[in-house]
Amino acid sequence: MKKFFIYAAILLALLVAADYGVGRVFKAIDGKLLSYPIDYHNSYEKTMGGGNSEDMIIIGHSRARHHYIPTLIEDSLGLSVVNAAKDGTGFLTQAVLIHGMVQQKAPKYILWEVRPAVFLKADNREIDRLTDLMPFYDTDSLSRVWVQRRSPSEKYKMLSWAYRNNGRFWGRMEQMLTGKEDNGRKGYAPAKPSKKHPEMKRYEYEDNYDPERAALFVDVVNSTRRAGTQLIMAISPQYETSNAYELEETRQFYALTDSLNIPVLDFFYNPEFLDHPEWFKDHTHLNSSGAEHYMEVFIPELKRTIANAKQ
Amino acid sequence: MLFNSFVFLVFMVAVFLLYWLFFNRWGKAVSNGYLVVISYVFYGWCNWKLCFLLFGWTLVTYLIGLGIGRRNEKNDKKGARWLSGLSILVGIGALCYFKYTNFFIDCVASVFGTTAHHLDIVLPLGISFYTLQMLTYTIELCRGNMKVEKNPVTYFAAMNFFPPLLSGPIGRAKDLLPQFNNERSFDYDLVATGFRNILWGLFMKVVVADRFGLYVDAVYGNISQHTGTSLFVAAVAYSIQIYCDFWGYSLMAKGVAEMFGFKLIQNFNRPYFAASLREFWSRWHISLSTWFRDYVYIPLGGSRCRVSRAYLNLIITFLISGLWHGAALTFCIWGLLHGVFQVLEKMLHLHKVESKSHIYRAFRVAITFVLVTFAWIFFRMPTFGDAITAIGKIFTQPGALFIDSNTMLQMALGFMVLFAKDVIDEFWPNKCQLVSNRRVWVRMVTYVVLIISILLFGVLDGGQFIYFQF
Repeated sequence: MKKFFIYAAILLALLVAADYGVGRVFKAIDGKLLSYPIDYHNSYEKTMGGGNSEDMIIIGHSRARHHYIPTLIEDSLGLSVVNAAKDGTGFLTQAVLIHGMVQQKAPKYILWEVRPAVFLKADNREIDRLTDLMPFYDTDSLSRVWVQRRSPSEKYKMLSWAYRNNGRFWGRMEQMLTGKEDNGRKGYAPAKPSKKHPEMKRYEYEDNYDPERAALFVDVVNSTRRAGTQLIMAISPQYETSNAYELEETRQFYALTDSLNIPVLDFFYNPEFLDHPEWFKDHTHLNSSGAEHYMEVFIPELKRTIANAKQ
Repeated sequence: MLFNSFVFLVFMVAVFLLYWLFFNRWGKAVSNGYLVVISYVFYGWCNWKLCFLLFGWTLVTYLIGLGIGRRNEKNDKKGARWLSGLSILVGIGALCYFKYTNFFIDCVASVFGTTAHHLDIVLPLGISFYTLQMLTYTIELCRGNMKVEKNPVTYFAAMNFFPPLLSGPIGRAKDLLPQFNNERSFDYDLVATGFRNILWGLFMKVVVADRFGLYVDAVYGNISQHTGTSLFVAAVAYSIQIYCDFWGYSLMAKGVAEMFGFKLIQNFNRPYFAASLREFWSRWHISLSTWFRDYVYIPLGGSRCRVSRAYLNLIITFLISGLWHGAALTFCIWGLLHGVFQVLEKMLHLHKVESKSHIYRAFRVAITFVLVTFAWIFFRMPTFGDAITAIGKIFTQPGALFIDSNTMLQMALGFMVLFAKDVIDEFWPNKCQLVSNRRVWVRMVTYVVLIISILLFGVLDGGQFIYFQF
């Protein structure tokens, strides 16, 4: 038994050393990637670390990443814009990100793409995607709180540096190898048009209002105000019909933004887009052609909103 | 409690240390009592109420076992058979109630064209496994192949031993009970082997199976949106996923048992190297296939009867095996396909691959893999209609492959490790050993690489093991 315990102790010591080494390597890679142009794998690190010096930062999930073209907004508004959205992330991750970002370096504007039912209670997938906040576990207190909510044992698992980088190895390698050249899209990822257009469907979303999300939203609004950032909410088009506007979570969202005086540019069920399935890749995402059409109607509204805010 | 959860890691370290440092030193009775307690803690972790069912069924088989033992002493074969039959009735009856009641309601409702009203029945975890395991005790007692176990603590410790409780391997009472009747001393080699098995099993589960699972779920979760090419890749990916998932679980169960000084059956033997369906079933889920062979196929008459009857026996056995896996038409079809494939193999005299040509064998391995993968489509799909749609699209609607580069790169990494390990184990069993290398430093480095890989590439806190649902 003595032999077993000696070997176990040696293995444990080697593991701690290897784990620490892995952490250092990833830290070095992350540091290097901060100097690379913004892309999927470094967008949050750049955003949270104050690496984006643009006037407007676009935050959201895949719809934001595929729908907002920074260069077109820049040309019209005369502002510098970057799209820091990330596929698959949810409201919680984005809210914590904005909260942390404005404390580091506050842009003039944050354009936050959401869906109408913003305050729908988080599902397991959204909780799981809080992994995107893991890199800020030590530096941002709110990130730490939310990462720990992934599971009761999360705070113990976060003692491992390798665990903190779980699932990020290939992405980092990919960006290290291919992401040095600036593609000029500033974070926008055009979705290729597909031959098959989505079919119109009606969805019935569940009503599950989460007051905690509303409270977090208020926190985010307050922190952006303190930092002098103008927060603008946007909802881009979707090819479907649903009960989204009959839900409590949607009603609460509109009531709250109204009371907090936060502008909402809502194109969710815009009739023009509902007549053009060829502008969509699937029922939730516009293709590149659809994104350009969307920018045509969105930018004038954004311009008006910014002008009104200045008055 | 899942083997791939953080809670289990803490549980395992604690119960392992307590076992070897204290309880096992205080004698066999205390040691077995301790194993009973920790087994119930393990089993009841998520739902303690299920412990009553496990306890009840173990008690029933224990008492029936005593009864059979008494009748055997009196040479009352008929009485012993009656009691053995009673245990089968109770065990299979409970299994049918928990597993098949709602399926039966669905069938009746569809026959009469009415709406099915399901009963609120929770399927107890592992019931399919521990029911079969305990039936081996009463059946073998009745057959006179083993002695009755009179000590209730030993019986409960053996039959409720936690590593194989939820998802196998399905142990035989005559293999398990003697181990619990012996004094156990700390065997470094066995414990180290157990640790290695846990590590490999965990790697296979979280790095390979769960990563493949992400792709499979993305494609099979939305069949209408995906092309035939993507569905084909998902079908192959599912074959790898289910193998690594279940093999990983079995290996971990075996490893945990070994760390406590017990040996369980090797449940998998590189099944995708099988050159026929018959060989596949001698390599896949060995504990279940031998159970069905010994307690269903042979009692039906096996192959020692008319040829047509032997074929029918084979089909019936696999149909029951399909139904054992799940209460759905898709599982029945899966079982039926395996039965029919094997009958065809026998009819065409293809079940024995005696040719020494490597090319021929490789060809047969590929054909077997394709057939098994085809059958897995029915196994994985929620409905028969979905399975038919997927198969139809595979053959008629090729198109662009759905690619998630990050997931696919990690799938490739996992597959390479799996393939290398299986090839070495199959063709050069004692060469290129890493985890079992003679040199300590090679073993240590391999352990560290495996653990860091699990932390870096694993889908941690992922879903349950696939076989839990059965």
